[in-house]
Amino acid sequence: MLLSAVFLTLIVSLAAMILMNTQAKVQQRNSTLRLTAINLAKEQFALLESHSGASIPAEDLKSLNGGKDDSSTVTFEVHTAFNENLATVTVKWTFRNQPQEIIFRKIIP
Amino acid sequence: MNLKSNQRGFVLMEFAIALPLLILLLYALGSVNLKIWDIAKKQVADYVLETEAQEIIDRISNDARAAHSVEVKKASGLGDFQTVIFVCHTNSVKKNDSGFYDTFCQRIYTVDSAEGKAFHIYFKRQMGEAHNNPLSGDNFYGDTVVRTLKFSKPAEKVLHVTLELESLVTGQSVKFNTAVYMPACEEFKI
Repeated sequence: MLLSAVFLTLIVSLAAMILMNTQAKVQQRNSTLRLTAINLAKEQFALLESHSGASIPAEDLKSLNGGKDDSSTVTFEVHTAFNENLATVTVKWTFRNQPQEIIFRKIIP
Repeated sequence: MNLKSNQRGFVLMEFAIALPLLILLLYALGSVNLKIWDIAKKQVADYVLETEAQEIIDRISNDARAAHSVEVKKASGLGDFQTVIFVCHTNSVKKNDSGFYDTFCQRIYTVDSAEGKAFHIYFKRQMGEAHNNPLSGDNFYGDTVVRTLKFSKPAEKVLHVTLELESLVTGQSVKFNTAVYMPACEEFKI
């Protein structure tokens, strides 16, 4: 019986370790931030397509650059570049003090 | 059982020490298990929230992309929520009641609440249709409510969508902003 108590102690400590490790991961989710970044990039591409459809010169597309805050705690930095027909949108944010970045490219006819 | 005199009472002593210890450990193990279960439930609820929001945004974006006309209006009597109506041309071969072939279809996204409390997003094929197709909420793994559904026109032929969903399990909310260019759009009423 004493032996079972020893084994059970080991199991409890192991479970507690797993729990402590998991809890920190649950509190913040980078996947939601990635989806936000994707949607922000789509927003930029839609505006670029509209500008292109209306034959607005490429120089005027600079007005699209700028940041946007979609979450109460995370700030996204969105940068749009347009070279010939290729549009490049870079979205940056910080997650757990680590800089994150996704680069999207699309050909705008 | 013949025990030597110096071994008598050992089982009783072992029980006296190990049993309270065992009960204490079982209680601890139970608490840890409950906490793990709670974390798992919250994680699934967050996943449902994220997936639902992205699915709704994708559906609206896909319909907007093919739309020939768009109308945005206030959802009847429901605060800041808006309804969007897309009209798309189709190659339908089904005859309507008048005997003509339908060559367009409506795709409507609106917000409503069954009991005046939790607001959900519904998809309809015509304005008078009952709310049979909920796109959010009533999910066994994590119920959600819609907090914002707004549309705007930031540029020519561009529909901007703002969607915010909140999980009723975790209280977390996700807010997505996106825009769609509608190349075939001839009429945009907002």
